[in-house]
Amino acid sequence: MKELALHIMDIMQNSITAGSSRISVRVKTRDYDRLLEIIVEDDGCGMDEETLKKATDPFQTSRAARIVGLGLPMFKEAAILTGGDFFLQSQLGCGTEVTAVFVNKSIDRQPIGNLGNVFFLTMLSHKDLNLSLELSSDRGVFSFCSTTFIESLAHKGKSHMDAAFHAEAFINEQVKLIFKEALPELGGGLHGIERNCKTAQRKDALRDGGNPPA
Amino acid sequence: MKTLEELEKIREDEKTVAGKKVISVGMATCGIAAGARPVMNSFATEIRTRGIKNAELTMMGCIGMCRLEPIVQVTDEDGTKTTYIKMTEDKAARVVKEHILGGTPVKEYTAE
Repeated sequence: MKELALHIMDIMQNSITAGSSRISVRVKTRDYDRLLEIIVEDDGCGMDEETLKKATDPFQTSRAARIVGLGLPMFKEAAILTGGDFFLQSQLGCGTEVTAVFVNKSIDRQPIGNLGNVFFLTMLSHKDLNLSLELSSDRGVFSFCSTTFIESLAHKGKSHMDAAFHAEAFINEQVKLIFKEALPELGGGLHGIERNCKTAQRKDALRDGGNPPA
Repeated sequence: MKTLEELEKIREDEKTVAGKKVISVGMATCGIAAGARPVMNSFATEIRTRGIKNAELTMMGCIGMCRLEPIVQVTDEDGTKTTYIKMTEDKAARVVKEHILGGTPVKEYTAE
């Protein structure tokens, strides 16, 4: 996985499998943008202590179809590589909280990617799910709640799909505002790896003699 | 107790939900890593721009064939499942055109 947004999507997928009705994602920078913290919290079935210990072991999975489970181990690896940290808290029957801390300036920190799109796709396929997102940095705080957002657009006669589309643009706009200077993005940045933004950025960088555009 | 009309209306609603094709995109770790997201985006844009009403887009977990990801399963109104493997954005657009709108599965992209 090449983007933090994809990791978040993967962890959210775990939460959905655990039968959650509410997932909250918090992305914040701390310590004058030195650290980037991602927290994914749900109210799913949770894990007992035994499972919790094994959760970041790649050869541990709850499924019968295969014997490896790479979601949490890869997220942990991505955080540890930057010199960050990773915690997992869970209580059986109450839910799970995944916290990953990244060192922002590290060359190994993956770009944040298209966070809006992740929410868009999850909203589209799980209509009853209550998703919330909180972004915060020194530049400001942004909160988003999928159910309120969809309701308020439904008053204007927009369908669920239209609402999800609007949410994508809205979230991405806010991510840009709140994290713009905090996250010097390599390899695709906020647009993610799937657009040709990488080549465009590289061209810009070459033209300016290696200095990133101001 | 509901009136007969209300019950009939509920039955009608149920019918329309049941009479839908369900597109499930494999969105487990393996799927995401193999690029299921652009595929799902492609489905979403196609459904929206063409204004398709008889299809539901959803995510599913891993079905145990990680080497063939991104996998997309289309369940028809009568319950027949078609499994498309190694999907891309362009393939997704063709599946929408020929399978969802046209009704004939695209044989070349299936698992067989």
